[in-house]
Amino acid sequence: MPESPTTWVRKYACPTDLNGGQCIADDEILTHHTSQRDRYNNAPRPEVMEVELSVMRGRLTTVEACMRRNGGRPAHPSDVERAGVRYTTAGELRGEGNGHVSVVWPAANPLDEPDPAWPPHVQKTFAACFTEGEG
Amino acid sequence: MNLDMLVRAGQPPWHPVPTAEDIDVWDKYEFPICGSYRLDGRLIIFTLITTAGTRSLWAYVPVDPETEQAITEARFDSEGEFNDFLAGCFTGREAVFAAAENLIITSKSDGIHIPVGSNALLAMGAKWYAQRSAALHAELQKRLEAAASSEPTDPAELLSAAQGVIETLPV
Repeated sequence: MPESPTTWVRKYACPTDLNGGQCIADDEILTHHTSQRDRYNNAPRPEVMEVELSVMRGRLTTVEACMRRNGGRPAHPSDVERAGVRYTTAGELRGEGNGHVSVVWPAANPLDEPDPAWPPHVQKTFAACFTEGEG
Repeated sequence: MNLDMLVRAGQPPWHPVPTAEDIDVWDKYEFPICGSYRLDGRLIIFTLITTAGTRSLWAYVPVDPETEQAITEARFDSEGEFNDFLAGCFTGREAVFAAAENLIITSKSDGIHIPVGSNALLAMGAKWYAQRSAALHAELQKRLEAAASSEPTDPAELLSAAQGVIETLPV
């Protein structure tokens, strides 16, 4: 039987996770950036063939998150003005189901079989994990 | 390698030609930020230079077969080390720049030599973008002036030229 292609999530997974541990502790704060305030992606975007959602490790300000998304260069001021960030913890996300963190669903075999079609209740639950932010 | 083949308008910047194979994303957030792909067996590196609003500027460079292994096996201890490595892949080489709107390539450059120096890729890319924009501006203006001054005036051509200006140039 041919092997399934290696997913991006598996290829760049933290070695600790691959060995059954948890690279990111439950209490670690994660930042979710949006380029349009008040409009966050609550599920992978099928139009760009995403299978996971990206969040950033740590509590980043809007300026810092925009810079991270711009490949490490400071973002244009108007982009920062339009952007927003919201925060949660890894534990909050896990409860339901490198500097980059991929959120995948379902939990059964996340490294190899992430399902990009998050049902509405999963999207709602994901969004509810973020209880504070800027924009 | 024919640099004209690296990138094509209408494609996403991280999959810049339909025939690109083995696309390997090195870094991403919402969309791939840098990585590599193969074209006719040759390794090509791509990177985002910067975004601004819905527009973004990207760079592409082919890797010499003798340095391929060093690139594919490189490992880094810090983000700074990786950034230096990425910049080094372009230094002294002919690179191709591409402009994208909503992450779809709209325009590309010919091969442009990237000199030694920090931020050389950003400087050369921005310079190309400005020159390309100025050339486009001049082209649109010429067409508009020709349409407006022709006798008898062709209303359809004038409207089309005006729409081209409005669509393309910000005020």
